[in-house]
Amino acid sequence: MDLNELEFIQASNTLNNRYLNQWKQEGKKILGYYCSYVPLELIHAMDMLPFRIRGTTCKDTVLADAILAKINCSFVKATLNLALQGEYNFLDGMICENSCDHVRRMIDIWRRKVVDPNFPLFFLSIPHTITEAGLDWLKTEVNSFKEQLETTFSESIGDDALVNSIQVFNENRRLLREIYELRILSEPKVLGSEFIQLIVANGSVPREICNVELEKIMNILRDREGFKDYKARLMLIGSCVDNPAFMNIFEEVGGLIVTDSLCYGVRSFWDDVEATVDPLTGLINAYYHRIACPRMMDAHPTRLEFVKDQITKAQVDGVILQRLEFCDLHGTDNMLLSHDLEDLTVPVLSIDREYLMSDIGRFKTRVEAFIEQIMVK
Amino acid sequence: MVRQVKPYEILRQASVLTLDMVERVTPEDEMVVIKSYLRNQISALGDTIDQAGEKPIIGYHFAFPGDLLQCFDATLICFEIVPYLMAALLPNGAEYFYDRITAFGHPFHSCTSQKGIMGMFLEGLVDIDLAICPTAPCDNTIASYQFFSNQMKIPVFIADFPHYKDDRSYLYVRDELMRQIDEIGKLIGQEPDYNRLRKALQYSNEAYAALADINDMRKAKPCPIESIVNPMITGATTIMPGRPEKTQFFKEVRDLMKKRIKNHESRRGKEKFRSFWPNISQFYDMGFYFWMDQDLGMSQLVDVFTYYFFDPIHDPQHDSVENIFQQIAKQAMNYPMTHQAQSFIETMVEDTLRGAKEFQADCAIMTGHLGCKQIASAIQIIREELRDRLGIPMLTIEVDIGDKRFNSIDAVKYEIAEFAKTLL
Repeated sequence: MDLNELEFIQASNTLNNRYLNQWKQEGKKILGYYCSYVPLELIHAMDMLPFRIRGTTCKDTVLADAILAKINCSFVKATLNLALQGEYNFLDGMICENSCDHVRRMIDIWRRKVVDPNFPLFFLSIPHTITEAGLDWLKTEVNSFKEQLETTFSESIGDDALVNSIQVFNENRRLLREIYELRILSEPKVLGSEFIQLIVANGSVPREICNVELEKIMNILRDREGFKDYKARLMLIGSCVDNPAFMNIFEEVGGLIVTDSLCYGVRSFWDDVEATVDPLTGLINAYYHRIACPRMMDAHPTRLEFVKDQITKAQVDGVILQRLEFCDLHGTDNMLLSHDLEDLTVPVLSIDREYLMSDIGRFKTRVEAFIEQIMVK
Repeated sequence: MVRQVKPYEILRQASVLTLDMVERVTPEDEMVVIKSYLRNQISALGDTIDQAGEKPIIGYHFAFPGDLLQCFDATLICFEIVPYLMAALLPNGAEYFYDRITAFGHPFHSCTSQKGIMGMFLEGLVDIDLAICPTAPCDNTIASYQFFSNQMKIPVFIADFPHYKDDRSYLYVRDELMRQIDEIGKLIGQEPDYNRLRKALQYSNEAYAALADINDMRKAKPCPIESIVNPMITGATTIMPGRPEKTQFFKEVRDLMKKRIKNHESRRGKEKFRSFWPNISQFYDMGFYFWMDQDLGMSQLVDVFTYYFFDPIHDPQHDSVENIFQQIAKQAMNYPMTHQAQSFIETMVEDTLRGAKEFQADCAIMTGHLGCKQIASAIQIIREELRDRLGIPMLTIEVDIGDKRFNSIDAVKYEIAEFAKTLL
């Protein structure tokens, strides 16, 4: 069965969807967020829906180009363009973080250019190092965010609600890990492009519904025949990918993306939140110590170990290191990884791209050549 | 092992040759600022190089409070300023090193301040014991120091800087700085010598007092000092932390300005326009500043690296170590570029508006430096604020501060000259 026939999966192709409309009709609120460091369970415990801001449906960035410079990230531009077009009007608030130099300006620009002064905007200053002091800082930040949420929306977040949310999200992660197991089989039952759709939909629909839908999808996939007709098993690493069409480039020339190290991918569900006496502390601890993106200055060794582990688990033949143009963080991290992987004799292809996929022909040629190189080996 | 501080040796030789040339071709009272800067730079570099064989070598990020490192008996090398001073002093600057690290896989669009030193590491020109940096002011810092730790296997100490400017942040940074100094001491086998630090802070207090005077006097019309003083203040601020040479240079500039004002003298060239630069000015063509002053008649009043104000360290001789750390943390969070870039956009907007107003600027010129994504995303808003609140136009020029190949100086001059026509 083509997963695209499922309404749940179709939620990845648009910003708004029926589930969101229904949610709003029930008088509930939606909070947009930019970065995977936002503790979603906290928002969920407020009976709000956390919606990950993305660039889906963006056709051009004419409006955003008038505000941002050409050296700014095209993904962030796409999201801003959509916001300026009013495509994010279904949000009841937005939280931004100091994720990177491009994202962190979004709170400034939304405040001045996108929303009215009463629109709730929140900010988390997340440490760039993983230390005890950093953890303490983040605890204060998240506690402050919690208080602001409670004040802004006149609701309080009790421990019981938070414990429940943590359970819902842990179950969600467990289901995604199970589907991931079907992705890394010798004859994978789910394509990388489908997997990205699944993750994107997962960030756009109430989690309880996601969990039901993921169960269904798992059953469909289990009965599905695995993909045999491929030339190489690839791992995708680098900047944010929320567009399955990007994965198609590889799949169309015989490369299966069997695993990844992406914030919209495996890293998003790899670690559970541990149940602790104080649920908020457990939550913060889990987010802080998760497999980090290169915004964390001291996390490259952990990230490398994760990559090596994935290469083994998913029997990866080659690694694609991609970055959105003008992303200094992934650019440098990819450089480091390319040399690390070279030392391990893992074939690597490094590419840079624009979010709006303007250069597909060139990519296809390079990917084809890369796969041929792998096959010769 | 022979310790490697080759970049500083290159800079010293280039400074000596340049000073020699300038002194030979100009009368004593001409190019006084340049001569003062070069003399002080040669002294500071020479002292650093001479010590390098005996002492631990610490590489530091420009936005780390270098004064603090004076508590160690160590050789200090500021990474980021090296490529830019090379760009100023050598025909092709540090271009070879930018290309070297780009060929190694580093993104071309990262900041040349780090690309240059990264390339020098690959070439084996730098051999140090450790590096230290803050997590500010930009992604280039966060990314490139991972190269030093993971690729070059150098111990890198990191002081985390939050996104806010408030007491909680200052306390957090104070603790970060104390922790890093403690850890560095352990690594190099030295107890921090706070008497050394107190002396360094005394120098810096005097330097910042002189800089405040310089900035006050730059408000005069016409501006009594050459535009070229801006890159030189940047150089002194970064490469001479807690050193007497920085104080000496700032005092000499201050005294020159005082004398000029008293005698109703001015710099060369008639001032027709006054420009405020909200980002750093370029380093790859020093002749540009003579063209600004003398041909175009436009003063570059201040830029982001020269328009800064620190509360002096209250009483460096007697204050407690903890209090001193607290004050250094506040200075560090308000260091040029960290102050503007490591916070919400309002800081940069307010700085620009206040500066443009105080200095009676006719216009602003923003360098859209290739590395500065955090500033690039603020440019349009700053432009609008200047236009709407002060009626001041802003020109954006796309450059790389330390790489002439990105945008030729002739193209930059043309853009500025055309912009100037609209101001008449």
